[in-house]
Amino acid sequence: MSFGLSVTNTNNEVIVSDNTKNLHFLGKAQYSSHNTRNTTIGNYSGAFAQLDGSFFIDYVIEVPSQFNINPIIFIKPKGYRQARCCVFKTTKETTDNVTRLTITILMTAVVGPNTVYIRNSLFPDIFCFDQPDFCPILNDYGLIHGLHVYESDGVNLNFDSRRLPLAIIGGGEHVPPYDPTNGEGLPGVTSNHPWRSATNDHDFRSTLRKNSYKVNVGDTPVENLMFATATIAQACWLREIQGYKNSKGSWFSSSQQHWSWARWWVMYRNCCGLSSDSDNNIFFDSGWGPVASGFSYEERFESGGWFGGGGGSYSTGSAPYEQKTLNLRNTMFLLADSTRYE
Amino acid sequence: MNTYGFATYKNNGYSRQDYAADSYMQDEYVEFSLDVDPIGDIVFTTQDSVWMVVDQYTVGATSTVVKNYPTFSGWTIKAFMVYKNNPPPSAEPLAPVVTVTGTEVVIGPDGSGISEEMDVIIVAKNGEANTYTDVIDADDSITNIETSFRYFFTISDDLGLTIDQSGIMPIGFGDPDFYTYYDPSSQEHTEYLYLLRDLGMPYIDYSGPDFVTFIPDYITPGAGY
Repeated sequence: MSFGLSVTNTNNEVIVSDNTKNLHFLGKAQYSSHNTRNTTIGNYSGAFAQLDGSFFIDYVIEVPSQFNINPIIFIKPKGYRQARCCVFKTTKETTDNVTRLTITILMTAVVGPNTVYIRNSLFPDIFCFDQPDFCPILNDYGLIHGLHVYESDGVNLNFDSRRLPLAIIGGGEHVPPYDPTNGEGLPGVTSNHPWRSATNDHDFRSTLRKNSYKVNVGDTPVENLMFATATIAQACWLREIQGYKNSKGSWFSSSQQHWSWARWWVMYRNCCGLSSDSDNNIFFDSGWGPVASGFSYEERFESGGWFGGGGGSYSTGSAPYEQKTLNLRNTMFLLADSTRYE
Repeated sequence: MNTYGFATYKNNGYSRQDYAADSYMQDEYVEFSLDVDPIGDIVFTTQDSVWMVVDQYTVGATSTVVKNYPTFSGWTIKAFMVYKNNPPPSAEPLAPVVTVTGTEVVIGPDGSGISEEMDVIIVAKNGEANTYTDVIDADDSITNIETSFRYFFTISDDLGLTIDQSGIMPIGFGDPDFYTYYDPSSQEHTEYLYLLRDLGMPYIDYSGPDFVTFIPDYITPGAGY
């Protein structure tokens, strides 16, 4: 390096430079609305009717339209032991010179009935980071202290302490477990149940299904942590109970076969959270949350002949997805101390 | 000849116009730390780790994007992806596959040819991706800053000093308790001395406490140092 600026940290890694651009604090996205789904799996569910529940929470952040923001989104769980979250999707629209980014967070409970543990007050805080030119000056205390670093053109801003550059204090890679369901093994298809059997026997909740990664964040308490990750993994699994009966009304009637198919299905997205143990070890947890769920039932039966009754069929609901776990790849996660940006 | 703690240089970076003679002046650079602190709250320190933003774009449902980032040669490059607009349950999307080879990033559909539109943020980290251990360590505050304040580093007037890209540049680092201070009446200065060194790649000589706070407003531009 002949000219310019290069600041390295204690690990001798470049952290400020005139030719690299730091992420800075764009702002906190504001809560807009939410809805609740997937607290139960559907009809005929018997003892395994409960799901963890999913809260789709919309947050909004607005910037002048000339800023084509595409931020890295950090989630700070409030009830960190009770919930896992993911950035479910983002939607951007521009009107009247204002770009409005809607961030949909999927949040799911991991402890007990979701109605107890998940309340609006426990919805996470959402922190957005983008390149410095898009970020407002938040700490303008008379512009006394600070540091600016520009590219060599003197125009494009690379670092500005007043815009709160993002500092990462931990991270790693994660992947959720292949099986998102608490039930033993994956749900599957079994046959030879009594005709019209329609009582679910698989626990589709995900509270026990996670991979945990111990992280080193120094003295930062878990309550202060926020995380960012790309939660691309998803899964859809189905329990199907096939029923059968072969009846014969009388010796005059012919054999009459009856079939039934009861199906319960849940689609999941990778949801992540933070936890700690009694020794204050902190873990990044990669698990699952329900996105959609449903029940379908179908039955068919043959005609029993002149004295045996007519044939017929009946169906309700649908099971629209094939069973699979998709996009199960190691994915990076980053941890930061949210209190720097409060 | 001034005898206190700041040096100024011509804009060519090679000719030291003035400097402070002091016993703490050293031939080799001395490590120190940077602590940017707007009003008492830590904003950024040399104990921090960062991921730089490299690129941001949207990858279409079945398109392939190939980009190269030679600036980040030797860095760890990763891609953040967020489902855009139509995630499940309206579809069963396969996420695009990200392949990083050196400084080239290829994002394309899964092998089936079906993918999903994604917002992508390319980030890069100098060093290994997962070497966060001991990043925050209160006893590990001494570090290295490599500086060469010539054309390419600008500090705004907001900071109380001016680095004129065509002129002379005063700069200093100090701890609040260890200002580089010159008392005109006594003509004394503190023993903590911060010098820019010469030859276009000046180093800052720091022999004070581990943590120093960047307080450029202490320095008065053109004050005759």
